[in-house]
Amino acid sequence: MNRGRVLSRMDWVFSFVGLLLLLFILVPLVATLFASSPGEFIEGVADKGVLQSLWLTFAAASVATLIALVLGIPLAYLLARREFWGKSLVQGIIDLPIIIPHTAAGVALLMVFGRRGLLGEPLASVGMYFTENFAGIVVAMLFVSLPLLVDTARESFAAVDQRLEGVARTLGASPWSAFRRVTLPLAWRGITAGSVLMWARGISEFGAVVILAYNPKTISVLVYERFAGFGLSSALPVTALLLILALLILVVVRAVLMPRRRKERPGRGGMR
Amino acid sequence: MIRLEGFRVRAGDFLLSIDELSIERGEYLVVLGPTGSGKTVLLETVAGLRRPHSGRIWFGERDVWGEPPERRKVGLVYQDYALFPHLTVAQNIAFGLRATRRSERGRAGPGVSGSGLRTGGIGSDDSEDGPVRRLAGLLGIDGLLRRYPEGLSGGERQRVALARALAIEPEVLLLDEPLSALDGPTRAELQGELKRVQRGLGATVLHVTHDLDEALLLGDRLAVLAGGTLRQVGAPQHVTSHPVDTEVARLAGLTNVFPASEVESESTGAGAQGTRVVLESGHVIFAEAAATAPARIGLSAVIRAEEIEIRQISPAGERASLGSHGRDDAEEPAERANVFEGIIGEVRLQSVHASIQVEIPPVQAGRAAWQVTVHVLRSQVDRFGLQTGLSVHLRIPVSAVHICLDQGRTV
Repeated sequence: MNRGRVLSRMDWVFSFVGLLLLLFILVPLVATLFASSPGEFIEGVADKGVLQSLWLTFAAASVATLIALVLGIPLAYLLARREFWGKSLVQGIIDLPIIIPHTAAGVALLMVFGRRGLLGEPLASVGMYFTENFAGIVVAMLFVSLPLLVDTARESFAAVDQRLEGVARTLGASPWSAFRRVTLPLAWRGITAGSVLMWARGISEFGAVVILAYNPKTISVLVYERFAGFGLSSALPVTALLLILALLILVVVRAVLMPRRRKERPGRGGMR
Repeated sequence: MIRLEGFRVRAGDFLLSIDELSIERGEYLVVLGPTGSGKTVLLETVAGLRRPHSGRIWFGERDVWGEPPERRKVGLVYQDYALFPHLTVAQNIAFGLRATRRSERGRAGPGVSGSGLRTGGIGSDDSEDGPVRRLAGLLGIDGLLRRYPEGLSGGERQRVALARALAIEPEVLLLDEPLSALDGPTRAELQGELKRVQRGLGATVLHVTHDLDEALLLGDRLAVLAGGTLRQVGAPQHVTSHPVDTEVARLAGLTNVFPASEVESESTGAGAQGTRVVLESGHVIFAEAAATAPARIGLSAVIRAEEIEIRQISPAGERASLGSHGRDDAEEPAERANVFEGIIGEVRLQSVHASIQVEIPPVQAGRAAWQVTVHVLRSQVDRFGLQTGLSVHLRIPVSAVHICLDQGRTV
């Protein structure tokens, strides 16, 4: 790519500074991964509490992501396609959870979903609770990670040529059908990537979750509890497991986002 | 028949207004206009993708004003074809077949469940096969049916887009600069193809372009759109030879457009009416009787470059090769001509013709010289030894001079 280019002194200095930043990220991760021996790792991870907690966390993050998909895709589409009064305000509101400290988000959610909250109180009377249970974890994860999905979905919709929808309409497709047969398939890749990002963000959430539901313990609450209660070495194996999972997720997202190279080249017949 | 009446469309600050335009069944109408003249807005509104601010759009006896695009049956082809990248060529062409049949079925039987539609979709692949193959054959893309748009050339994509639009048997085919993105030879090939397919199917076509050659080659009729209004509609040959204003003249590729300072009717003897035109440079030429009211300012003279005759002034003084006034009058008394002497400034060779700049000296010292462009066949450049610096006679037939409104100088 750079073949034949002369590297200037500036390139060397910039590379060095960049390297420092990479090391700042990588060294703690690698150190954590290798801090516990394989034996300690397996012992620390193969604990029933850890597996339960992992399962709980994945399930809650999945439910939150599904809810966000159903509720977020229509909004993302509107934000990408239509001009309306207050659009930037709507966009700003969607992004609010990103900038609010997550413990503050937890407290705010408690005001609504707590047992004496605006919604929590009436819902409690019909037996629905949102604290110290699965539903509370889902609510907390949904709140803090929803912007990731809506924003990526909006960008994916915006990247679909609007005229394709127009052509689909002239070919007899209703707005619903054009959306389903053209827009959605073309934005699918970005929406999937956004979902995985949101899911991963939900899994890693601590601040908001711990305020709505300390129990049952999600994996990050578990790490915190082990660290606070039993010290660093006890938190290490689970932390390492989380890091490995995060890396896997990153690889998946990359793979999904990478433009698929068609198996087909000009001059060669269809392969399908 | 497609007919627009009192048609106004707003797109941002832009207003497209067309008082009246109709396209006969089976007619190929080309709208010629520069970028930003509202061509795409026109097509998108006829397609139903934009709602006109006022006016009516008739498809035959049916006013489609409030109809959504999916009910209008229009075939839309964009400049870059807008093929569905996630579908194969066959699926692209079949897109409308499936949607149309569904909506028809939906109207016929309301009790069709979602899953029923899906199985119907799969089963109907066979019945789509016929039309898809027929259209692919018509446009010579049979070999591409399983390919995706990504790997196709511009010309191939264009054929796919056309086949896809034709598949729904549209009331009107809307073409938005369909050939502009193609290279020369492919373009020429597809122009022929387009006309052949249109004639073969008897399709009604509304084609917008900024390309004059395309407009002349394809259009049964030509409409000139500029600045959001329709300037002139008529036979291509007539519009390009008798533009109503300088803007149309410019779009019609007419290079000799000269502001006139005085235009007056005069009797040319024998009862015939003619028009005497004084150009801003002071040169006087005679034109056919102007359709527009004479003696108005804000008029221009348009001289059709290919109708001017050019001859070298032979050193021996035998000017007869060109013909003097006297001889002309003797031969064709009705046809008077303007004769000027000038010097060739530049000879520009083009594919078929050569464009020759001739400078005619000022009428008096201190005034501007007059630059006239003459088009001759390229072969004549050598035959008559036309080259820079040569002294020539220009003979401008009265019939080659046309008076039109000057867009830049309204009265």
